[in-house]
Formats: sequence, structure tokens, C-alpha cells
Amino acid sequence: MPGKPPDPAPISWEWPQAEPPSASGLLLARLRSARDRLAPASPVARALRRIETRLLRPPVIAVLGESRTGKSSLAGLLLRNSPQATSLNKLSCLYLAPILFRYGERQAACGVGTGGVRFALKPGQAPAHPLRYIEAHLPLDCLRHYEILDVPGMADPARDGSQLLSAAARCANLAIWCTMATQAWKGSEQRLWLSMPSRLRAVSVLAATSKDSLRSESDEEKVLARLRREAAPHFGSVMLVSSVQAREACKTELDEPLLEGLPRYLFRLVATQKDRTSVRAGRDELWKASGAQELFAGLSGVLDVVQANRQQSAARAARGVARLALGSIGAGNPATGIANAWTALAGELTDTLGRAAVDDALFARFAGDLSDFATNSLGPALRPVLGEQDCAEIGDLFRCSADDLAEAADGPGVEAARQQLRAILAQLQEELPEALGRLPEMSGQNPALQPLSELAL
Amino acid sequence: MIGEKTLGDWERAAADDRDLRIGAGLRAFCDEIEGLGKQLQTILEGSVEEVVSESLSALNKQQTQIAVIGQIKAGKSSFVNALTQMPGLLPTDVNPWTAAVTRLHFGSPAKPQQGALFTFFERDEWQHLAGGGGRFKELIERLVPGYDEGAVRSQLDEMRRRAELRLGPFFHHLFGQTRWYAEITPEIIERYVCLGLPLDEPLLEHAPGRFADIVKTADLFFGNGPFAFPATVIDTPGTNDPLLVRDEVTLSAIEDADVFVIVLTAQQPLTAADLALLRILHGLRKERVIIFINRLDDVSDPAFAHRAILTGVDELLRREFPSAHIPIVAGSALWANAALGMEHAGLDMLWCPDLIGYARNTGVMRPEEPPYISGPRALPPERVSQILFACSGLPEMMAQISKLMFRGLSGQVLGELGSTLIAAAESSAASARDELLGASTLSTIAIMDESLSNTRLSVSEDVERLHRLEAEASRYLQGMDKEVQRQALEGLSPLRDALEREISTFANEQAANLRASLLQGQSARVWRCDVVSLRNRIEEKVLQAFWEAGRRFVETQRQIGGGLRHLLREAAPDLDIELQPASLLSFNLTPPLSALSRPLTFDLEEKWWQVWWRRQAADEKARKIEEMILTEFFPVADELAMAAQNELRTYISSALQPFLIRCQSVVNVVRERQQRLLTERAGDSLKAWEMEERTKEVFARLKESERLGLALGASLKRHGMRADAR
Repeated sequence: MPGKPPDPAPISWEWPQAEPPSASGLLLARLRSARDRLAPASPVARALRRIETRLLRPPVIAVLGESRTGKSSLAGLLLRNSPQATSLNKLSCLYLAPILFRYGERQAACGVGTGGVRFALKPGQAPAHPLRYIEAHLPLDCLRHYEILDVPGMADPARDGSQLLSAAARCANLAIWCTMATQAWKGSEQRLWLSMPSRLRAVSVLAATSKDSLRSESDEEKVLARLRREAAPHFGSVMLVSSVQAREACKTELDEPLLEGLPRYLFRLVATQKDRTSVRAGRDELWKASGAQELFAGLSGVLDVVQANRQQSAARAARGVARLALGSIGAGNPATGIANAWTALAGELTDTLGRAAVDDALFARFAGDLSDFATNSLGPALRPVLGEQDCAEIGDLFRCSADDLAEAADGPGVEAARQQLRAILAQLQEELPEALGRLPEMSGQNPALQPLSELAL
Repeated sequence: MIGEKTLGDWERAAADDRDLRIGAGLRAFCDEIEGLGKQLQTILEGSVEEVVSESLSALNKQQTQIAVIGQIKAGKSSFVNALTQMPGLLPTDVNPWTAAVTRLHFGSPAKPQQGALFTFFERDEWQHLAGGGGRFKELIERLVPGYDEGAVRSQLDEMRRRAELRLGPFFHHLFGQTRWYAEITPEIIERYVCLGLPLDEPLLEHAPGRFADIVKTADLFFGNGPFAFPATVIDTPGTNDPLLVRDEVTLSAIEDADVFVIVLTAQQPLTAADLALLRILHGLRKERVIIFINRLDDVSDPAFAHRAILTGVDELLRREFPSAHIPIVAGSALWANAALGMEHAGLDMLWCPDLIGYARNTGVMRPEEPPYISGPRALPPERVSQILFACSGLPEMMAQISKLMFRGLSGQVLGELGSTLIAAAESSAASARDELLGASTLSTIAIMDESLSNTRLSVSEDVERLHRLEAEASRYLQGMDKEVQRQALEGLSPLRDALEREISTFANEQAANLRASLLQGQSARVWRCDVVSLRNRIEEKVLQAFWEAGRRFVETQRQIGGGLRHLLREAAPDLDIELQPASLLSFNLTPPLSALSRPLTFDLEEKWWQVWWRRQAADEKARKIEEMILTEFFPVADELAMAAQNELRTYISSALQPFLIRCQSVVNVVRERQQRLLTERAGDSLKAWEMEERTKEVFARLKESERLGLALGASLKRHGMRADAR
């Protein structure tokens, strides 16, 4: 028996970016100043603050896949194998609900219901409200850089997975789809995955888990080749991972690998070595072999891209909000204000529609714009001058349109959504003047439609 | 259903019976029936003898089909290799590899005993397949017309391009052709049935998967192999493949199978896709399914995990199919193949602590046995392969398959042939009895009838009566056949209407339900139509109606015996013969329910329904959903009713067979009597000793027939074919 080898260097858990990127910082400063300028229009300020908060929050990584594909182990790896995370994750199994891991100074967990209601989860009792997901707070540094959404398995015969999936798609910035390396990428997985919005698919990772179950390197290559061929077009990247090996590599003390009692995931590594008794798979080597190194490197790259995308969309959203704000403030006549705002919004929507490259994310944003318009511009302007009934009707007109559009955005086809939006615009163009005609000051005449200058951001 | 025996028990059972072959029980039963049938044949004459010899030749044409199905990468081909004890025969790979349905024929009567036949698709079939063929494409197109056309086109183009690359520009000439090889080699199989590598350059002539795109089925012929009874093992491409959608080809290839082996994986046992597959088979033949949980070698600590896996699958199955008792076996085809041919899998890699723990925990390995395969304390290689084979679950699978072979079609046919033979034996006994009775009556008549003219008169009367009886009996039976068919089918004809009513009610409920939730302000896109309950209701209705029709048929069957007896009494009042065949087939059929398991648009994912909802006008949604339920389920109702009728019709035609035999034998008896009367009255009277001889002979025949009838009945009962042998 050889002497105890020197302890390998500890794995570095340092995340490459310690601070939010400077571009975000600049944008945040501008957002803040815009908010200050628009302080009187409080709904608008609220909207802007929402965008800020969203931008400040780390991106959410959803860990998805059919049941028993190693999702929770992978989520555990992303949570730095924290034992608290593992025990919190049991809640997810208990309530069969997704669990969102966020940064918090103190370890805590609560249920989140519809409308964002937060409530305590008491073991052994049914949740107080319909449970949408569980929110867990952990004092883990990595959670400052990303949040993890672990979603229960999608192939459980007892549940309809596609609803869970579309809910996850709404709040995730990128996803890791787990599939078993030895039985990778089945038709049912493909069907589920293709129902996700394309903006998410483009940045997401296909992780073939249980890499250690493959019996040789040539098998690994074959599986990877097939996945690259058949699945890669639907993902940002494809990789093989072994969560158990990675966990083993992170242990501070490595067990002496006696042949008897050797865990299966180490067995192949050892069995392929010539001199079995003296072999001790080095921690770095194991870390590398587990695919975790590649996974973390890949994720760090993808997170950069995601962050850049989020900045862009935050800027866009803020522009939209500001434009709406222009319509609602400064105009003494509510009808004119509304008409101004609407002209601006409709103008932008029509412009963008004409562009060749549109995707479902854009439609989701349009839907947001429409409902923001209803809430922030129409509501406050109409309520003082119109009866509750009329107010509600006009508001509904927009909210329904926004709902329809959101549906179209969730759906699989861009062309359908484009058509839907055209129809909605045409309908609103027709119905809005009529609705505005009910305003006391405006009866009998069309609201003046004034061109607006954009608020520079 | 988890077995009571431990792996150790199975191993000991296999060791007791060294050459335990698959289907040995069915073979023994078949041999028994055949032996008794041959004995029966020697004492029979005329048309009844023909029936028996027909039955005997049908006996030798029987064979069992064992279909192996499951999702991609479940290890179906590996399992087939292990079951047929030919490790390495069917090629396997770490990626999905089997592209064509492969049938392995063992000792099939009237088929070659060696060679391979590959059949290419017909042009239409191929185009259907290449066009995305799958049912789901069709459903999506039905639900949201115009969607995804681009994807279908590109798949067709891609398949055409690949076929051209591999087979040359004139590949379409190959459609409909077959290829025959006298020798089977893994290379040949690989060339035809494997997916092959997706190279972007023309393949060499002998490359794997060269013909994969156009091969529909492969037939491989062998001698008896490990089978005691002729068997065909069907290996199938995995279901749930994202690219190669051949589920339909697979399903049609296994439709007639006697035993279905569903291969699951220990890592992901029984997913939604597996359950969907089971539901389809469940509709076909729930009592013929065995579940094999493969790849136990992939699980960490199988000694601990295998119990939980088995119990989990068992619980889920009980919940899904409460009435079915589906055997579940866990194991590893890899271990079995390693045991069968050590060189095939590296033993070093397999012989890990997990396996040793499993072998010890399940009682296969004794605690005192050392866990080494090399070094001074190494186990002998035979023992190693014994352990591997016992752990693989294959011994239990072989026993379960043997058991289920009785429940398959060939088992049922054997049972029916046995029943026919019993009917023949009974009728032989009855006619002997009649003749004995007749002989004594005749001698009395001979004494009493002194005037020859009187005798002549009675003979001609007899002749006339016989003709009348023959004609009437056959007319009666024909009439009854028609009547029974009519009655039975009439019993089923309201079924279709009843099903349609059920569906309409359901559609109505759902529409009302939707309207209510829309009124409450819920968005239509979160509303989902749950058709599971409708499917259950339909299944219940069909089963009820079918069994009711069956019950009525059995009743009518009883009346037929009475009717025949009445006829006979009129024609020949002096003969009082029991005409009810003792061996009426009991009615234990299940109607085909596969139509119920066919996926419908309601089984499509949420996202397609969202598109559908969007396309409906707000006030139309409820009406549209009602319409959709009707258009989707009416054809299903149609098909179910039709299938039930066909099943019953086939059953009835075979069930009247014993009556025909019985009638024929009565006619034979009367004819013989008439013959004897004629010769006797012609003055050429039998001498007393001849009469005596004849009586002895007939008596012997009576005893022998009774003995054979009882022996056949006992044999059937012993093999669980008939519970109520009289």
C-alpha cells in the first residue's frame, strides 16, 4: 500500500464575476434618474422600479426533465452540494411543487401561491393556499449570481407535466434539461421541450446525466454525437455530466478506493486502470471526468449572454413605460392623453411587426405593454371622469387583448402570434375612439392624435 | 404482481431441471393431447375420425409469438439475445440501434430451420413513414390544421436524401422486394436492421444500417433453440424515439402475439410513455403481459434498490389496471449475456460490488462463497456464470413466459382442440352405448317380428325416418347457427347506440362544465378536458354488453341440445340419447379494446390545445369542444362495437362444432342400425356368437372412449384449460 498522497488543491468555487457587470450599473443609474424625473407619475415609477428590481435579480436557471433523470442531483451540484439545499429540496418532493432557491442571509422557506401570496408551510398540513412554488432562501454565495428553479419530473404518469413546464418557462431565464445518458433524448422529451418558448431554448443546456453509467469513452462519444445530431438544434449547448462523480470530487476527504465496496460511479474509472490497488482517482481528474467543469464553464458563458439579453429587454420595457407615461401626464384632457399614448404604442407595435426578425419574447413584451397601458394610462385617466361600468369595459378591452396576445406568445408559432397581434391592433384602433367617445368632454368628436417624441434613454 | 419466490429459489429450480426449456409445459400438454387423440383415432370411424385427424394435424401447426416491446434503450435486443441464448446475435449499441421489426422463428413448422429473410417496405408504406407517419403528426394536423407542415416536409426530404446516399438514386426500385440469406451472421443482420451511422457520404456495401431506411421486417429462422414449443420472438424498434417514428409498424407486427414482454429500465421504471404503451396492450390482452425491469446493472446498490423498484412498479400497475395481475421481473440482460458467453461482455467490468451484494442479498450466492473471479480464492467460471444468470432474472422470465404461453392463442387453440377431441370421444362412447342398446332391442324385435313383410315395412319406415332425421337435424343446426349468430349480434347491436349516447352525454357535460368555468372568468386555456373517465365508462359498457351477449349465447347453447333431442325423439322414439355435448366451451373471452387506447387529439400536449383554443371564437368554445368529443370518439365507438361483434361471431362458429359432431354420430348410429336391420331381415341373419362378438367389441369401444374422454378432460383441467370437466 502506497503512502497517503498529498491532498489535492481545493476546487475553486469562485464565480468569475464578483460584481454585476458595469453595463448594468450604468443602466441602473439611468433608470434611477428616469424614475426620479417621473416621480409624480407614481404608477409609472412603480413600473420602472419593477424593471429595476427584475434587472437586479440574478437570472433564474430552471432545472427541468422527465422524472428520475437526475434533476435534483444536478440542482444540488449547482447549489454547491449544500446539505441545506438537499434537505430543503425534500419539500419539493413532499408538495410536488417546483422549488426556487434564492439568496438570503438566513435559511428559510415558504410557499408562494397565486398572486404572489407568501405563506408558511407546515409539515403534515395541506398548504394554506393553492401552492404555485416553494421559495427557499439560502446564504450561498452562488445564489447571488443565479437562482435555481428545480421543477418536479415531467414524465410522472400521475401528473400533467406541460402545465408545470409552461409555468417554469415564464419565470426562467435559462433552462437545463436533464436526460439520462444511457437512455438519452426520447420522443416524449422532445415534444415537451419543443413546447418551450424559443428564446429560452436558444440559451438552454441539454445535460445528459449519469455520465458514469456509460461504460467506455467511446460510448460517451457515441451518445454525445447522437445528441449533437438530434437534440443540439433545440439547445444552446449539449453536455454529459455525472453529478455523483462531481460530488465525490468536492469531498474534502477521498475514501481510499478499495475494490470491494467501491461505489459504482468510481468503479469504471478504477476498473480501467491497470494497477487497481494503487489507483486513486485524483480529485481534479474526477472533477474533470464528471463533466462538471465543462458545465460550470458553459453556464458562466450562457449567464453572460442571458444578462446582456435582460439588459436589452429592460431598456426596451423602460422605453415603453416612459412612452406611456408621456401619454398620461401633461395632458389636461384625459382623452387626449390616452389617445397620445395609444398612438405611440400602436406605432411602435406596428413598426416592430414589420421587422423580419420577431420572436415570441417580443410578443410577450407586447402583451405586457398592452396590459401596462390599460393599468397605468387608461385606469387613472378614466376613473375620475367615467362610471365604473364604462371604465371596466374599456380596461377589459385591453386586458383581454393582452391575454390573447400572451396566449399567442406562449404558443409555438411566431406567424400565428403575428397575425393575432395584427388582428388585435386593428380591433383596438377601431374600438378605442368609440370607447373614448364616451368621455364627457369628448362626446361628438374624435380625440386629437398628436405625435409624440420619445423619451431618450 | 411480484413473485413470491426469491432468485435463489429460481436458481435452484433451474438447477433441478437442467434443461428447462421455454414452453416445456405447453409441449407436455400438446404431447398428451396428441397421444390421447391418436389412441382415439384408432377406435373411430367415418366423419368423426376425420374431425379428429384434422384436429391432430392442427395441433402440430401451433406456435407461440412472444413480442418484446418497450421504449428506446430499454435493452430489448439484449433481452432477446439472452432469452434465445444467442449472446451477440442481435446487434446492440449505446444509442438506439434497432430500426426494423425482427422476428426470430424457432422450430416453426413448415418454415425453414435456418436462414434470414428481409422484407423491404412497399412504396406507400415508406412514404407514409417518411412523411412523419406517426400518429401524433396526424393528430396535430387534425387539431390545428396547417401547423408544422414545414417539419414534415423536411423529414421526408431528409429520409429520401439519406436513402439515396446509402442505396443509390434508384433506391425506390427496392420497394416491395425481399432478400434471402441461407446463413445468418451478425454482420448481415446489422446491415439490414440497424440504424447505422448518419454519415453524409455513400455507405460501403456492407456497412451497418445500409438498408435500415427501407427494411420493414427481418425474419430469422432457427432450429428449436431454447424452446420446447415452436415460438417466434419479435424484437421491435423502441417506442418514443424522437426521430424514427415506427410505432405503427411495431404495433401492427405484434398484434397477434401470445405473450408480450414489456422491457422497462430500472433507472426509469414505468414512465408516462411506458404506461401509454401498456394501455394499448391492455386493450389487446391484459392477461398476456409480463414486465421485465432491465438494466439492474445500471442502478447503484441493486441489492437495496430492486425491492423498491419492484414495489413501485407494482403499485402503479395496480392503480392503473386494478383487475390485471401482471407479473414483474427485475434483472439484467447484460448479466445474462455475460453468463451465456463470457467473452461478449468484459467480466472485469461487470463483477462489481453492486452485483456481488445483489447476488448475496437475493440468496443466489452463499455467504461463504468468496467474491473473487481471479486470484487463489477465485470462484470457478461455471459458478460465476451460474450466479450471473440467476441474477439476470432470465430463469424467472423463462418460467413466466412458459406459463403465459398457455394463455396465448396457441394455448387456447390447444384447449379448443382438446375440447373437440373430448366431444369426439364422448360421441364415440354415446354411439357405442346406443349400439349396445340397439342391438338388444334388435334381438327382441327379431324374436317378436315373425312376419317378414312386417319387417320390410319397419325397415322402409326406418329408412325414411333416417333421411328425415338427417335432413331435419342439419336444417335445425344450420337454423340454430344462424339464430344464435343473430341473437348474439342483436344483443350487441344496441351497444353502438349506447356508446354514442354515453359519449354525447359526456360531451354535453363537458360543454356545460366549460361554459360554467368561462362564466366564472376562468381563461379557456387552463381548462382541460379529462377523457380518462369517458374511456373508463366506454370500456365498462363494452365489457358489460359483451359478457351479457356471451351469457345469452351459453343459454341458447343449452337449448340446442334439447331441441335436437326433441327432433330425434320424433324420428326415432325408441332411441333416447343425450345430445348435449358434455364439453361445452365455457365463455371467458374479452372483447378487443385496442381502439380505446388509440391516442386521440385529447392526448396531445397542452400547447397544441392552446393553439386550438385561440382559433375558436369566444362564444363558440363550448360548442366546439362538444363537437370535438363527438368527432373523436364516435369512430372509436364504431370500431369497438364492430370488433366485439366479430369476436363473438368467430367464437360462436367454433362453439357449435361439438353439436355437429354429436349429430353426425347419431346419424351414424341410426344408419348402422338400419344397415343391420336390412341385412338381418334379408335372411342373412347374424349368428348368435357373431352378435356376441360384436357386442363385446362395441362394449370395449365404449369403455375405451369413456376412458379417453376422461383422460382428455383431466389433462385439460390439469393444465388449467377447463375448470368444469363433467
